[in-house]
Amino acid sequence: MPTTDQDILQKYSDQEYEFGFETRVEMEILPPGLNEETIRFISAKKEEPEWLLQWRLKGLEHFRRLSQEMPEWQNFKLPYIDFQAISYYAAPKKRKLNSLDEVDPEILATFEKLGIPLEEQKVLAGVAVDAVMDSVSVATTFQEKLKEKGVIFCSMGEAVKHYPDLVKKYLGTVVPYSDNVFAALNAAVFSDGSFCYVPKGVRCPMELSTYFRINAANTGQFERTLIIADEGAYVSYLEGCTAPKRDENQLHAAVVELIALDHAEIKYSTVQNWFPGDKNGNGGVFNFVTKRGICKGPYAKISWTQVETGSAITWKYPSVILQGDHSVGEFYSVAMTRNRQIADTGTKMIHLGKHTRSRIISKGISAGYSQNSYRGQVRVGPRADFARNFTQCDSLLLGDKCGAHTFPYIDCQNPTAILEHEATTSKIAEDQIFYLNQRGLDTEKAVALIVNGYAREVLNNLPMEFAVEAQKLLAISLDGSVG
Amino acid sequence: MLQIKNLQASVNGEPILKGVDLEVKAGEIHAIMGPNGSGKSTLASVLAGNELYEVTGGEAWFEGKNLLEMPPEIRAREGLFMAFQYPVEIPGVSNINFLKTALAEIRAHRGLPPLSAKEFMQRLKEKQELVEFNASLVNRSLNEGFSGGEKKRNEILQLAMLEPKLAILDETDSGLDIDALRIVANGVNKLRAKDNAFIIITHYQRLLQYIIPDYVHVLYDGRIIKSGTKELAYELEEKGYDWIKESLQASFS
Amino acid sequence: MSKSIFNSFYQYLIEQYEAFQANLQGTLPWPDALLKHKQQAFELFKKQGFPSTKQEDWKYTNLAGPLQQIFHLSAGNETADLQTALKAASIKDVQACRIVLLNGRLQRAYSDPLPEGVHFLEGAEALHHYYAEEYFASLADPTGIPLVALNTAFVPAFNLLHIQKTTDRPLHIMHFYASHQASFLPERLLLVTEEQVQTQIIDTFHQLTTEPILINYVVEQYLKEQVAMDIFLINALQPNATFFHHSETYLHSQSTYHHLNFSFPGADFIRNNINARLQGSASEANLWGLYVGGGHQLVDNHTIVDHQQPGCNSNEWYKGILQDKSTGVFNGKIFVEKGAQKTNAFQKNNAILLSREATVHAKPQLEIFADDVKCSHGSTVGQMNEEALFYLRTRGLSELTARQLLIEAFAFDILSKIPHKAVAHHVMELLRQHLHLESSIPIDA
Repeated sequence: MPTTDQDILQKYSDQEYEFGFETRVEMEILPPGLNEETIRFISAKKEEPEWLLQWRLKGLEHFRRLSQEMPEWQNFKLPYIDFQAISYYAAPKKRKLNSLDEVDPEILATFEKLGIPLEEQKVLAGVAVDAVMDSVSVATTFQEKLKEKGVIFCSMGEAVKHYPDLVKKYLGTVVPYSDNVFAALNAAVFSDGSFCYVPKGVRCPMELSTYFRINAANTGQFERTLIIADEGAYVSYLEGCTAPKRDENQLHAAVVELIALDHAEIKYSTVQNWFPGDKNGNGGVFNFVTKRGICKGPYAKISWTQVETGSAITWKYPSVILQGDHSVGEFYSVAMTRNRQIADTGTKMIHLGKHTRSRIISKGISAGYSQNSYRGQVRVGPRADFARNFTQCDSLLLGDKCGAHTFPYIDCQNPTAILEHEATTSKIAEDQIFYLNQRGLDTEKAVALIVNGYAREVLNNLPMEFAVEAQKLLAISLDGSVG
Repeated sequence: MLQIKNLQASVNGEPILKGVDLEVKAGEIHAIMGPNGSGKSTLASVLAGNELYEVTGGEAWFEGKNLLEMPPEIRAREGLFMAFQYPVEIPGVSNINFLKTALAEIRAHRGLPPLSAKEFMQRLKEKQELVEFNASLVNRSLNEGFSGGEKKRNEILQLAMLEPKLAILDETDSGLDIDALRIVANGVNKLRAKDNAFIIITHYQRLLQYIIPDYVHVLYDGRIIKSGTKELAYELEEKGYDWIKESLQASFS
Repeated sequence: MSKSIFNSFYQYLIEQYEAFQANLQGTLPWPDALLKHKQQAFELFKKQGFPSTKQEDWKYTNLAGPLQQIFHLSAGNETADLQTALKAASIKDVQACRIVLLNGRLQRAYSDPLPEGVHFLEGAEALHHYYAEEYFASLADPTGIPLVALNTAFVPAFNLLHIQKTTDRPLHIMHFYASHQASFLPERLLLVTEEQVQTQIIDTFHQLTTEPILINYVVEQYLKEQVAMDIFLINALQPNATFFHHSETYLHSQSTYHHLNFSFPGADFIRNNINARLQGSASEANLWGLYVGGGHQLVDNHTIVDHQQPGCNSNEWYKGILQDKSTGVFNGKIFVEKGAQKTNAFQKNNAILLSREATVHAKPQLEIFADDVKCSHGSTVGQMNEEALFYLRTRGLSELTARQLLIEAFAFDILSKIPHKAVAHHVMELLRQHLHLESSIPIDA
């Protein structure tokens, strides 16, 4: 048991990234580089219709414009990214076609190692899984059972083939290809991702889940997720992410679009554990993701829950546009950073409809030399009468070398709105630790207990199975971080 | 003094009062009892003029004037007072300043000049003694930092200061311990006179042991379904509200 | 899109600079050490121009509007009937030592004799004072702050207020502005308080012209050890005024600084940067503000509390009342730097919107690099409490009186921070004068 702060920090820093192995399967990888040809290749490879190719090319056009001037407003210096050095297409050679039996056993073993069972008989009751490795969906379970209810849950590629009207109607309506430089890049090169449609009045009978895995070297992952809950529908969706340990940085620039129609509800949870880099800040995933949902109809509800422990840099703001009257947006987040990790994350709640409500609970935990920022916007438009927001964002500092930052933007153009924002920054009080020590807990356990309590409000929003997983993940990330 | 005829009201489109009839004369004390959700507090709020409640039918006359046409402050100046179940805390508004302003407005409405600072303080002191509320009000914001009991006693103090014709006590007994309950009741008893009247809204009968009502009404599902004298309150206490419901059902079946 | 504005006013200033400098060399030559700052500041301004809304600190405050015309550099020879103006501008019942400035220049004849140990230096005396070289443009660094660069480059002279002894009554600095054409009026004060001094300063601003004026008032303040200083800034300027104020204050050990900032409808455009740097341990900075917006006014308060040393405290509370088509901007930054342990830093801001067309933007911000700290901020946007309004009305108060009472209660949190009864009374009068509650009757559901 480490005794001094130094020992503890040391132990903590040396903590191995548990998921840092590489899967050796035969891959089909496009040489690095980004141009029109790349786009045409990806589109052709996926046998896409012409409109989608044209849409991708527009994305490329906007990417070229937007990448002229990379953003500077974020609370970290954006590392130089050579977009021409990235390979934009990597896929396991053996593609899944008819059943899980055809999936490369190596891949199945990989997901097994990650604790994600793909074989349906072993699956946790009530969870359907779509597994995505290096941008390509390799397996989707429980499709048949979902089909009975009319729920469509498949890879984006399949959706483009089988449900082109739905895809065409909604793709890019929440995050347009011109939104920001990484969303534009994603529009141009997205290779796969998950698609989900829940028809009118249907409560999706099980949790839907996608596991993302970056495997190949020098590749980026650019998946795109589109979830539509039709009138009165309900769906709960979870994504998890891991990547092998590599010395160089890998780019993950995904886009997630959620559309909730009248009285529909979408619950989207993320447990993000991409490779965070080593203790000196070498390697790790750049997690630059655009996630946004729209409550299109009255009484719609979108809820984001995220537990972010991985990635060298996490940079994302899962947001909700509250267009329908009486619609509700929620954001629950735990972001833990250590070593040289950086997080600049939060949310945007855009109130457009009347009586719209939003709630933001953000818990940042910083350790080591990391920098952890909450950035959030609550905007109330002139027509959003009686809009209501409550925001609580707390930061916990473990050690004196890290930083915790809070950047809330509150913009109100309506005199009937009520917005409340509270933020605190503190460390764990010594008397709390002492109290627990006195009851027989060692300091590390005491800290874990306190941090868990601190994050409880967010973890409680995760589906049961994943709450346990997230708690474990936090405990691993915390291990030895006691200052 | 007060005539209510077939009064109906709703909140957010949901009907709560479904036709209330009640007549209160000077010198009387009426108790309105009923189970939770029967519409007791709605009745009080409608009479005080809370705009959250929409009057959908019926009439209410106060001293020969149409109560429902008056904004809340005119009702107050005409002599209608409501002691709130949950008195609101208003940080930054001093108790003294507030009381002084309210009293001056009400006096002006009656054609009386405002009290001088000395007269006001004198009167405040008297009334504080009368209602046994000796908390220092100076330099304190309205109801801020008051305990539940203090808030209720402050309501009774305001009642004493403003000398209304009709006072409605909305569940003033809720959340009071025995001592506070006795003090509040004593205050009311000292203030009752032949030219004023009280409506006491309560769930329980215990306040009515201290303030003896002339009439007791049972409000159920938005209507007064039974009226009687103080014995009705004892009966209710003994048999519970289910007794009323059962007898009601019996009379329909 | 460009991050800067290079408009015709900018062009005018760039073209005039050389002549302005030459003229200055002839009339009031600056010592080389200070001149160097001036020239650097000019180069900075020339390069950066005026900030556009693309810059984070100007996101909601668009200068393109207020700066679309040319404000001329003043020849410095304006006169005005100060006798009459002074009477109107004095605060009733405040026994203060009045320091009267016209377009930033001391008017000794109209000013009261200074208390012992207080020195107000101007012109060459200020330029050659030993504190000038030490602090001028080093407390308020023009780098990155375009309006400080502008001031540093174009201010013809600055005043130096040196307080060596505790004052027994407040110093009331009365800023009068006169001009016969649209004018740019840069003004600057360097204030140094010596150890253990206790003092209070009232700053008020008054227009003696209906011409458009652009006031650019930069203050650099240095509080030595164990100083206690209160500043009351009261801005009740009239339409046609655009007001840029930057105040940079350094605190040494065990110093206490209270800054109270009041602004009212009138000036079209107000931007205040109020910064306090806690450079000595166990020092304390308190920033309080009340802004009442009206008409088309934009009021923008940017504050920084910078905890550089351990054991310091800060409290900040800004409250805004936005009427008509006014816009309020609040940006409050709290920095806790590495090593600034045992910091307590609290910030609150509340705004109420009283009109359909009023807008507020709030951005409280914490940046914390030390772990043993207690920091919090809270921010609310809302309107009058309808429940409280109803309660007051059931006690016989008219809707208007009830609204007035509630607004005054809202303002009370800040008003109550004024230790001077007469000053508090004056501010309350201004508040009453500028509230028009009849137009703020509620909105239907």
